[in-house]
Amino acid sequence: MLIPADVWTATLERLRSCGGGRRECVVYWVGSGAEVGTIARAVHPVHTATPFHYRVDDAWLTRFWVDLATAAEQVRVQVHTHGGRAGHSPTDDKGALVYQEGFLSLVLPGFAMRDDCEEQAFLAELDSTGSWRRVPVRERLAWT
Amino acid sequence: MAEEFTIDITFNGVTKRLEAEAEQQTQAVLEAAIRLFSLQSQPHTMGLFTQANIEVAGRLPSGQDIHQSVEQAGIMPGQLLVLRQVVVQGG
Repeated sequence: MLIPADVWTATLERLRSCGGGRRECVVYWVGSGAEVGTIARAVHPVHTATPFHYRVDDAWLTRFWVDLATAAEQVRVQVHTHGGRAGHSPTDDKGALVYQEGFLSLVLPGFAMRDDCEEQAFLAELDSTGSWRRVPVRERLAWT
Repeated sequence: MAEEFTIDITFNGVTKRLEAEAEQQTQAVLEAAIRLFSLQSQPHTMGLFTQANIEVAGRLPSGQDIHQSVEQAGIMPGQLLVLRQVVVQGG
């Protein structure tokens, strides 16, 4: 899946401005339902956050789902930050946005403050049994 | 005879049609919707919501499942319901 440069730039800007290097943050990469595997934009949800946790606003989620249906767009990847090393915590496992086989969850370390944070990123993919398994980032994602 | 009609369920940008009955429990509609989208989610982590974000099927914060029929929930033929995780979080 190709990550357009403008989407990556917007993602880092959001994660940094919202998280401020002190709190976790989350962004969803969205693409057209008709163009499988594409990412068109980054969506920053309404959420609460601490240095160790984030939670997306319930009402925002419902509006987002309706908006996606109207626009015929889909979330391809969820992207969120950790303060320390990147990994997929039990909370990440249980609290993801989408539980469909092949859905991707990208975790960026250090609140995504470093420009090369993708080099230490952790990518999890939901398998056919409903379990998250680590996959090499560059096997699934390519930066343009 | 049970009154049957169709409702629309949307999940992650895709909307599908589902048959429902007025007397049917909304929990059964939720389980059918999860199967419809081939989700790996556990039913107790998901809910069905109106566009006004009223949860009509799923689990309440108290841990109790919502017990009501489609008719009691006020679900109308052709209505769009949102299928989503009740809580989305990480950390």
